[in-house]
Amino acid sequence: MTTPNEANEVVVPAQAGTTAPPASSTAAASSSQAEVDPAGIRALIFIRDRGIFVLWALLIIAFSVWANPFFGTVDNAILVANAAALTAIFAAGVAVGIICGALDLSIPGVAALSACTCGWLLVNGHPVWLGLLAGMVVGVVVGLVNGAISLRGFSPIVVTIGTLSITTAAASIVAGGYTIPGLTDLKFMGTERYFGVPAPVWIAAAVFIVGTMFLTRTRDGIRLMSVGGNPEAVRRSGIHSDRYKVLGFVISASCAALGGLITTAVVTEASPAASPGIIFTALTAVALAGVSLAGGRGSLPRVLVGALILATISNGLTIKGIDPYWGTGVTGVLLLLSISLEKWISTTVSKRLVATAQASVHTGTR
Amino acid sequence: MSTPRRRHARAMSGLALGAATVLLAACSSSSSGGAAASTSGSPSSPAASTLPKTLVFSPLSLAPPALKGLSVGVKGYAGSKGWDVIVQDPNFDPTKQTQDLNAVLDSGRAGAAWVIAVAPQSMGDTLKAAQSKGIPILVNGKPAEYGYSGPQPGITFDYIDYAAGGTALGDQLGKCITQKLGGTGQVLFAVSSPGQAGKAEFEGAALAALKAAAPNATVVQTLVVKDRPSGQTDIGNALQGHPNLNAVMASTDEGALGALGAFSAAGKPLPCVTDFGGNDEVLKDVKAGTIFASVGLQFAADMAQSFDTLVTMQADPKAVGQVLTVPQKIITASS
Amino acid sequence: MTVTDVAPALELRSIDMHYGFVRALDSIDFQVVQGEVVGLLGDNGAGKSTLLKVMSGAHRPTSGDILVHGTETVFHAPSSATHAGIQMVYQDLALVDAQDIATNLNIGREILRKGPLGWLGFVDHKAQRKRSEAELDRLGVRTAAMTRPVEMLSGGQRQVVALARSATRVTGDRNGVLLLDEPTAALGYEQTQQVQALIRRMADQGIAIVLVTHNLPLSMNVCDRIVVLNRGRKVADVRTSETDNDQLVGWITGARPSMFS
Repeated sequence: MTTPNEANEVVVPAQAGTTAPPASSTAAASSSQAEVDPAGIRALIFIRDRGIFVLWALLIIAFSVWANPFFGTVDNAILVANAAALTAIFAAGVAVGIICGALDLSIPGVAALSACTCGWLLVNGHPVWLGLLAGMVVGVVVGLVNGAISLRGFSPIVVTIGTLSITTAAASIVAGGYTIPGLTDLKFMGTERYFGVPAPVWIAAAVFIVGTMFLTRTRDGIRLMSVGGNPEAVRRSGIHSDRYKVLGFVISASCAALGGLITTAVVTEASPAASPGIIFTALTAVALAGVSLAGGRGSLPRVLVGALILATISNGLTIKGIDPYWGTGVTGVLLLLSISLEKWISTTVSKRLVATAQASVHTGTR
Repeated sequence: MSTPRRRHARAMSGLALGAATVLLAACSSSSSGGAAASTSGSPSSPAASTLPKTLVFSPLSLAPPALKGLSVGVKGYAGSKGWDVIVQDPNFDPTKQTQDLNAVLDSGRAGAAWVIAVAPQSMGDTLKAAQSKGIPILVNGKPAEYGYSGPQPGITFDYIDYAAGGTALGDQLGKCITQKLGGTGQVLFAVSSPGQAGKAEFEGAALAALKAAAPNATVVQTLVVKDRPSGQTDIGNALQGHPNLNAVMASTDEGALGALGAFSAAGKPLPCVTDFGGNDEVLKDVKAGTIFASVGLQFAADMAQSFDTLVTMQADPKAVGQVLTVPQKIITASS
Repeated sequence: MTVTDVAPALELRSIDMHYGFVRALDSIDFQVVQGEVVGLLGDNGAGKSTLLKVMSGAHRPTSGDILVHGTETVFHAPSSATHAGIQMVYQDLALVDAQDIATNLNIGREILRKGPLGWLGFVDHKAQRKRSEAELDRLGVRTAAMTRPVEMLSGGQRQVVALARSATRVTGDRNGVLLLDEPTAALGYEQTQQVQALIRRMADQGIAIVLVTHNLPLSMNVCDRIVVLNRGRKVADVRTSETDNDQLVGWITGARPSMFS
């Protein structure tokens, strides 16, 4: 039998280079050692988690200098925020989907269908609130359908491609084959400014604040993220993981619906043309934010910054007279660099953790 | 593109094949009106009555609302003339388009064909097949795009004169700048996505015409507009870099409407906008005066002219076809 | 049955498991009482995993009875077993990597904030952390900070968290049963020691534990009783103190004849 004392304490990563303290104290005393981290790891993790903010700051500085004097104005900042707002809302939907383990490709179709449904109602004399409500309901319904079918065991990607086709066709039918222009009643959530800030920015801010709090501080949000990380683990805790998987789809489609409605409001026209570009921009923002495609982890604020970075690059380049197509290229390069960096950091952190965690009186830190 | 000799050889073999096919068709009983065919037996012109009054219409895809609308219009117009229409949907896939067309042409169900080709270079065999069967075919584009140097028997070409369109667009903007801005202005050129047909000649013509009509106006930025929302955002950004922009020349409706939205959101006036396209919203804006002029392709008139030409061709498929252009109209507030 | 006789936490009687002509389990009797650690040994294919799966409700036995605290029960699914107080700790640990220790320990029984925030579903992270710390203290293991994400723990620490989580779910007014499938398979020496201590602690708290392992020293150290299976049959059921390594090896390989023949 082992002596109870020696085995009481689980070895904790100690300062790199020193040996682990002989475990002679009781469990209570371990708390003081539990917080110690090798400085190297902390710095790496800072870069991995907060690096995107640093990147954005650097981009702002670079463009302010290069595109002087037009870039660095409050007016332009608001413009960038406005451009980012739309992408950010779609990106939030994509992010939640990915976090739950589902890549939701039906987003452009849902956006189009929501927009056309709302547009049709408005054009046929119904009140604005009904049109908006109907648009959002479309999102919830499609999310439920996506979730229900995926639960039967089909790959979410395939299922959502199917709903993409269906919603796009439905949007075309609702719009009668053309677009629905003249929706000036929606201006209040489109180009209207409140306290100098356009409506879409306010809406995106609300979405992200609510979303972040939901995912990190509420029981259902935490469970949602956990289901994305390891549905089996959650199920074994007695929770119906399936419900949360469906919830993920519903949130994703609702964001798509909201994005579609806001797009419509900004251009006062509902178009059934589901633009696949929405998915790519949203995915880029999400990937820049380091949301792992494997699911289970992700930070919405970082996704917001990802969208802001995309908008900043596009804005800065356009101001300088360079076609925004180049912006897509620059963003692509940035994306590849950032995922390489993240991969390198994760591997390095693991290696260092393993090295220190297996430290003991006999071996020191390998 | 095949060399002249190979083309010649192919044309020869095509004709020979065509003659043989016609003989066979003449000798066997066909689906409609067989009596005249079985007695003629000559390799030249089968009686027009052997070809059904059915048009096969194959646009690029039925997804764009304009093409969807066109197919509906074709059905209606043809129907009013006593014709049936088979509408195909290649969904932007050139292989699918040629396969579907060949199938219908082979089956003999079609008496005429109207094709908006996804990839003109791949239409060669289909055109030959139609010619050999004596089925008149109308394709969109210039003869050169299909590998021909001029008009062809049994084929009518109908193309959009992009140069003329661009010239009209630039000229109108120049007029606006002269009238409203005293001849000087900063112009944003909102162009279409790369790969659009006739883009280069359209834009070249537009810029030349603008220079001619308003020599002191400068194009300060050119921007690709993919769709209305992103166009509105990008033009808003451009406005930041060029705060004194006061004129927009747009190759597409999305460009024009996006520009209006962007300037309005920024609270800046936009006295001069010209547009190429002309959807309902744009026309409303022209009437209201927010858009100076819209150069529109008259597809309805073009449809009528195309269909009528095909009907005439069916009576004499061996006759050399025409080279048509899509009618164009400049719409201003006063028109 | 006298009043002082307490029924075993889990009892299996004459469990048979047939797959066609293959007898994975042949008339197995098994029991474990509260506070006891029973080791389940056997070579590959002996039937240990199958027996464990029967106990956890993952497999329905072809015939035989299962009694939980003296009551006959039928497990329709693993969830029935869980409801009956039997928790299996799988080799994959079933931890949510991206979440921290406190979240992993509290999932499914979150503490909500008081007042209107609580109605909205807001979680009281501080209270959860406190509760988790207390639970781990009671088990004698305090590993890294409660806010450390589980993926950043070493293998041994993760095992500890997984075990602790299962332990918290089977402690209550009627302590349940923990089924452990090779808990130290991927661990080094030091970590095995830690897990060993934790298992003993849990048993001391009254949990019944069934431990499947290949690790003979571990079983000798931590188990009160050892059951050996060979080709689907029970060949030994002895108190650890009454046997030794050689005997166990003999039973496992079949060199030693069954106790029961």
